[in-house]
Amino acid sequence: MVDKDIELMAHLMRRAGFGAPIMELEARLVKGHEATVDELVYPEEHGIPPIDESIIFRHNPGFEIPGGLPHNGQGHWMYRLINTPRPLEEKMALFWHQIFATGHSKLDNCNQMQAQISMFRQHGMGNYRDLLLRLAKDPAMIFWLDNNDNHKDTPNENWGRELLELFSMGQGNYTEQDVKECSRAFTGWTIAPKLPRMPYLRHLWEFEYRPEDHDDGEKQFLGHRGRFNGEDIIDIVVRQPATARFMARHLYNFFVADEVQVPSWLDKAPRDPMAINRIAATFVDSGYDIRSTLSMLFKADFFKDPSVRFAKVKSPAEVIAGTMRLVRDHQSPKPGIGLIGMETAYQGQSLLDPPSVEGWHTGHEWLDTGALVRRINFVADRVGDVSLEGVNDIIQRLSVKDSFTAEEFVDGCAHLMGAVHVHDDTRRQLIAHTEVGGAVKRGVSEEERTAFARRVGEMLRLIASSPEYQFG
Amino acid sequence: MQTVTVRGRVYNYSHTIGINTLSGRGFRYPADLAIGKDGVIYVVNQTDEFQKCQRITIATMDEDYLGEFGGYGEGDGEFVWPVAVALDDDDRVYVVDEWLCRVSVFDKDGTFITKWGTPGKEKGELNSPGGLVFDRDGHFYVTEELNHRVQKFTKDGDYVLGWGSEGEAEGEFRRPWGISIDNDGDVYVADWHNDRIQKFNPNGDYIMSFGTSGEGPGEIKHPSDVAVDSDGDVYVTDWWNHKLEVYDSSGVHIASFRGDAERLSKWAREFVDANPDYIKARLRVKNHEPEWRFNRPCAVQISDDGKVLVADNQRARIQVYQKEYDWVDPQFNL
Repeated sequence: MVDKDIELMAHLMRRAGFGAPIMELEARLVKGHEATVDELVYPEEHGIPPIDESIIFRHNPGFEIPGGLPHNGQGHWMYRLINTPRPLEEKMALFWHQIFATGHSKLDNCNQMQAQISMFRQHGMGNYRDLLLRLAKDPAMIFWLDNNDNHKDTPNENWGRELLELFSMGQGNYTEQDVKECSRAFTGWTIAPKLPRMPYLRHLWEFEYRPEDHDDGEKQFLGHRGRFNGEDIIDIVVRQPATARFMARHLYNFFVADEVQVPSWLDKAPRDPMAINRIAATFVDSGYDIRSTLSMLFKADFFKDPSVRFAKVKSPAEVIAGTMRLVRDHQSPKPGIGLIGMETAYQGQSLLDPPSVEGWHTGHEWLDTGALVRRINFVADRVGDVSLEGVNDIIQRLSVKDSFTAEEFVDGCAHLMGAVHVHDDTRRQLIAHTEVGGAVKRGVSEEERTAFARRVGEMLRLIASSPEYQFG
Repeated sequence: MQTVTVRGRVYNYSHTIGINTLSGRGFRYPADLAIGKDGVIYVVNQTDEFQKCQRITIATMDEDYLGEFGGYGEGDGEFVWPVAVALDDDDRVYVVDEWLCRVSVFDKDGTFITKWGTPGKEKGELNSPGGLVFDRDGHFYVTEELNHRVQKFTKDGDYVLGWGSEGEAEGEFRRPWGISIDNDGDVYVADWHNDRIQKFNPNGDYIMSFGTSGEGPGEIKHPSDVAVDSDGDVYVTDWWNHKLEVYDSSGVHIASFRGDAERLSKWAREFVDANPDYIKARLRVKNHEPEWRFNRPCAVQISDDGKVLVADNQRARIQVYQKEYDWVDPQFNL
């Protein structure tokens, strides 16, 4: 029973966070599932402080104003992913970054991207209507989707279209005329010119409303008629049943189990329609409160069901942050964190710079040949490094026993990696490999203990290289 | 900036030094500076792990570029995380590297002489050294962020004494950073994560502390450096709140400065004038005030003639205030 509970806790921490070492899982297990969910969803109320950014900025000043260097922004975010005591807050920032995808490639000002992510972090678990309004006023989004070129006399429909298609209702729930009317309502929502990047480094844009450039005429939008401004449009959009269903499916896809890619949602039914209905209902009943919705989701039977465990391919950010948390590397500032942040790009998820407004294709599409090899090598290099604190912890935990059967050794390593589940075939191969290496003994002499540590490192590498490890 | 007259002191804004550059004239994340003879300044450029242009820039206070030395690496004369600089009486330049836990010594032109420092927690060892200052006897004090203490060495690096441990009590520190010495030889430490300045006698005996945690005038959050002028007034870079706080010798708050770089530096002016698009881009901006203000003021030094130099880390420049000593107010109804 205990093992089953810890597997559920590991599942929760992989989804609502970035996985957790076995000691953290055990500590959380004492509190219980519901209490852990509450702590993750309401960290302020449970006295969990935000990460102290001053320490990373002191040693990495380039992380504050990365400007044209997204790698510094990626390093900064990765440091947060690895070290935050509030993992769900960061997970939600990633969630919104995927849905409201905005990219450095066009902005060429990484600080503006950081400001957007910071907004997601602060408000990403708040009210969805409030979040959409903030998004509509977010300078990065305004520039990314050309709303600064959306004028009273020459409307630009880019933002208006994506607001409906990607950020709220999804395709098939509005007409071309709705897009036009929506766009008219957002004319005059722009950004004030900022000081240029030289001579003293970058500045941030600020939202600016220009009433003289706003089309104040009557509009007909989704069956409503009026002299709508952008805020009115958001109020109408949020109340649409399609919006609740669309956001529910996004939440399910991100936190419960992989769905088909978003463009297929129009004609492919959800994997679990009942779960989607329940998420959507909570979303609406709570007044579009994301915390309430998440709290229900993580406590629901459809989330706890064993069939959805390891039913998601980890994103590169999850792979990297989860591995660093497991091995306890970069827990405090040291050179190289920027390269760890860049690793997301090498694995196919260049943080702060998604490929398009549609974000990344997720699920199995994370795993092209190059990216798969890259992520396996990345993880194997770290979990096999017995000098790292987290790996050493695993070795010490195993060292309470003098000797192991091959089965005990494989199961012990998989368990200590965070209750990792490997399929029977994989397990048989790992056991066979262990048997080839001879009896597994902790040993007494330094030489024997070093050999034991090496074998643990090798087994951790093998588990990390298994197909199963790619799933969360 | 308007002249600031407060409690018998008068301050004016003097000028700005610097421009954002990866090499040559200009700075990249200036973390500390030292004032040498004839108005020569040595500025530590932290930079970052991608651009790898860690270096010391040598310039004058009038913005003449004299050269640079250093570079990224672990070899002699190279830096990974350079953070502090100080000069001895012979104008040798001592540079502290937080990551390598060592002090590198150069001549005044930047030629490498020697280095010392052993990472560790024992007496004489260093763990993330952050600040460095010489006393009148040629000894120097080093703060250590991760050993939460201050150690005193001879200029050859031999251990003399040390004090402090992690905590909030008198004489304890949390991640101390900048350090300074007044005319009496008393030592001031920017107790970074305790949001206060602590003052000690030369042997490390606690005297007093000042500055309370907060954002308002006289309050500080994460002070990164401290300097004391010839009158005993104490200047603190309030790193997190982007301001400079001034206190008298008893710790009473005198003034706050938030940055006043309304006029571009000489190097910045030349850059803008040579780039018409930058001139136009500046003209379309209504409010230039964000450009004037400090962004992570990181270090402060006082020259003999009362210039207060503030390393404005995220704005790649030094902002210079002048404490006026012979100021006579003009007729009020002029």
